[in-house]
Amino acid sequence: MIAHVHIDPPGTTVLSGASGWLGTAIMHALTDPDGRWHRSGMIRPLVRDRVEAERLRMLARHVDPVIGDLTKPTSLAPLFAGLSGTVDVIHAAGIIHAKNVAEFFTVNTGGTRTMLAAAQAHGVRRFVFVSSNSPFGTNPHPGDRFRNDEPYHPYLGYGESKMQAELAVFDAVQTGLNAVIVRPPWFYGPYQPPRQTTFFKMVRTGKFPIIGGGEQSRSMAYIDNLVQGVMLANLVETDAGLGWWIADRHPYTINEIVDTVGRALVDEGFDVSPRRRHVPAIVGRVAELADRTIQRTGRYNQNVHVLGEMDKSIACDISVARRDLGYEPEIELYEGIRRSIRWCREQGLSL
Amino acid sequence: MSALTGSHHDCQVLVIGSGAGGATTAATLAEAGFDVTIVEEGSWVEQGSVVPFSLEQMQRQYRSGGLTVALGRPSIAYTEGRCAGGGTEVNSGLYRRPNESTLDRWRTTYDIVDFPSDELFAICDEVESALSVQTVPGQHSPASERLRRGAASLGWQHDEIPRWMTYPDGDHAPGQRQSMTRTYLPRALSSGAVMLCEHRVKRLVSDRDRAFRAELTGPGGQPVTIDFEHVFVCAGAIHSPALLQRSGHRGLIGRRLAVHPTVKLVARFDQPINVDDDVPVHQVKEFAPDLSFGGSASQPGLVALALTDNWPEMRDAITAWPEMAVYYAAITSEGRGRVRSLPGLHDPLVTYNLTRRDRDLLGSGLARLALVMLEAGAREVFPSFRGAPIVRQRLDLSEVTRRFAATAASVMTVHLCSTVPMGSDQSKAAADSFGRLHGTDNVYVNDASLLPDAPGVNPQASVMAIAIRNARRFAGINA
Amino acid sequence: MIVPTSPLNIEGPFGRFADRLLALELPDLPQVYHDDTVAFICLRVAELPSPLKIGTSVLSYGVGLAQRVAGLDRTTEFLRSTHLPLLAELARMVRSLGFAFVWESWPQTLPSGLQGATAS
Repeated sequence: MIAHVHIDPPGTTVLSGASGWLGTAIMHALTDPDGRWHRSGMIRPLVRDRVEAERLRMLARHVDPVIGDLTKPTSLAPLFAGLSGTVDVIHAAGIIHAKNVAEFFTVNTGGTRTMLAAAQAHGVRRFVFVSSNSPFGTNPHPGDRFRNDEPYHPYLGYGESKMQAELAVFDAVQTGLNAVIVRPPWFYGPYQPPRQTTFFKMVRTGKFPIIGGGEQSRSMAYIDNLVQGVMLANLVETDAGLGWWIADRHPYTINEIVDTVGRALVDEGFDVSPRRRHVPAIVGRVAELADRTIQRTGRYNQNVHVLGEMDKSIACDISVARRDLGYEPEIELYEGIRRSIRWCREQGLSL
Repeated sequence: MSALTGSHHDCQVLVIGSGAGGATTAATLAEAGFDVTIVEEGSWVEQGSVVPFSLEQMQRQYRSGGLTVALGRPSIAYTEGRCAGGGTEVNSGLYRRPNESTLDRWRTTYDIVDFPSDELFAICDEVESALSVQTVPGQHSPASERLRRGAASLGWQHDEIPRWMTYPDGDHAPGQRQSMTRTYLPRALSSGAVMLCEHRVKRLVSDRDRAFRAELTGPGGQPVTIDFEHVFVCAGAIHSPALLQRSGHRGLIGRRLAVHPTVKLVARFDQPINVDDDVPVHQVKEFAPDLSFGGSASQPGLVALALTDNWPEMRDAITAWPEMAVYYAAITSEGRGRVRSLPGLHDPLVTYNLTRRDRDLLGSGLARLALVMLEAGAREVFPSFRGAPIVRQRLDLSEVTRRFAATAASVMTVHLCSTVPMGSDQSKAAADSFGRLHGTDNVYVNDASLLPDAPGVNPQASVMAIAIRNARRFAGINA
Repeated sequence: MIVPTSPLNIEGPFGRFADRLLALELPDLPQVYHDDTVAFICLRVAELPSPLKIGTSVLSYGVGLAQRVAGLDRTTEFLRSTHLPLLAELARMVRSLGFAFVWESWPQTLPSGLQGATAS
């Protein structure tokens, strides 16, 4: 077992994408006085508007939201203004379903470059970039696992934009920034967006399309596991320029995911249709082809994209994160899904 | 070597083919007291009389000079030994026992009876001692060392594969190959077996379920006949089924050809690494059994061959061949091929279909192999497929994955098997659990054709162990 | 004029194509080496397994026809650059056999075919 050297939390934590799914979870973790990741230093979330700013300001006294737009570099000046002491950046902002292909690049690639430049200009101590599985494409077969080092094989516009962002991070490392990368696959848990609630609903009503045999494998990351990975990537001393898969302990098959969601819904008192909608594999192939064609014209259709990705295996091996960071995922699928369902219920969302 | 002439012979057991399957069968049966005749289509070529992996060797010891192809999209080039000792005379000499899980899959899927792993592994022990299977006692070749270093740098599993070689000088070269012409064939001959080289069997003649005669062509094209009580067909995974088909046996024969398809690349380093008569002994097993990486023979001619797909863009590199070596990525394939003997044609038609998963795996395998090469310190990597980029840094790998298409790649293989799969389940297996062709009394197959599917490792150990097991069983019953 | 018995021998359409293609790809290869290489290619192709040999022969008859109609140079140029299945294999076969033979026989050959010293 390697001893992991933890550095002190920074004087200030700058967090982009703070009002997003992951960002919200990180904000709660940083401000929960009883939690493992509580920070007493200043938390400076970057948000897009006043409503979000007020919501986050309520979390704790030392939260100081800044309203700005990653795609407008000048609007970020206040983000680093007036800071002294150590500053770390967690760059969690990104767009996964965009209006069009260009927006992927504006936000994911351009936004990352902007944050990197600002971080370098302000002498940031450690920079954590939240990337994705998409720069690496899909596994060649269900039994395959992405190793920590893999050739890039970006999956369409989103994957390409995230790959370009990773390359920008490596460039910044070359010029002296202490930056690292966290790569989560499909994540789940509280603060989930409506698309994930729709997923639960489709499983409950037996309408979720299982493409092919449903034996394709998927790594998933419960949101708290992912937060743990991001925090460790920030605070465990490592070389700059490294990246890690952060996910649950093992990948799941699509059948396992659908069955587990169904079981968790039943155990939370929902009526769940025993039906499973099986769709021939060709549907996934056709959807992927359609997705590629649409994206080639610069446009983007979320439903087609999601369907086209559904027959793929996207599974990774987290052993290097365990070795380098001491990462130990604590929540597995069934428990994570139950917590997600309870959160939905607390929010008054109908499932 | 015996040089019998004349147009007719009689024997108790006829063994057709003298490779890993035929030589062990002949030795086992001759030593058990059977009157054995071995026929071999190729010549007896003394080791050392041709340079390993040279074009001259291909001409003299390979079938069709090495230009054999399984047609498909893409077509897969393959090679077969055609000489005394068969493939063992010309292959890389790497030795891997079958995995326990592979044996278990064969046992259960094909219902192979009386197939305990410990019996097979005990035979492996004997084979390893007979062939002096060992690792390189001293220095590895530079190309092998580079592969090891690349895998180690990525933290990917890798190891040295032992070979049936002795090393008089300690280091990797020159190794002395312990092939069939140096081991099992002399044993067979010293126990009274007779060997006829340059004799090709045209067909077997049967009376109902019993074969009794082989019709052959001798060295000068003259007709030869051999009458026998039992026949073991050990002509390899292409020509065993082809001969059986020519002899009127069809059914499941030749329908489930399995191979390990491979794609390759050339890596250029900063220092001379090319050695002309040896292949790397290290393999990367991180993704085994689905995907393995290893090194190939890398004479300048073979480096040029590997650059051919993109000659205009890559030809300038050829002058640096002393700094270059060829490496491969091999997969276990879900696809299957067919061997069809066509009336009037000397050679069978061989076809193979890769599945989508196979093609995807070849692409990701080649990109991962290129990554290993970059980690090993390669300055430039030249993948072998039409339209491939020259890889100099990690970012270039995204171009490899983006541009790769299996149909544009030079796919090749050396491990052919499974055309007469064994097992008691007659809906899947063409031969019984001990290699006797279903529906015959005395026609046995005893070579790579019997392996129910591709073993995911160099198959010679599996072929030899199963051949010896089956020959012993036969000797026990027919003593 | 002697009519070649096989389209694959050195005088036939395949041999003419191999000769021309090799001249284009390795223009500076000494004539003796060039001739040896073409002879080697034709010898090997003549030993192809029978189904492949029949296929190559049929293609070569077509190539012979094209050589007469469109001329040797234009036919060679087309076959050299085409990606059509089967037809593309002809050039690939000539290149593979030719380059392997040239660099195994004369490893100091430069990309143009010129004989020089290799890098070290």
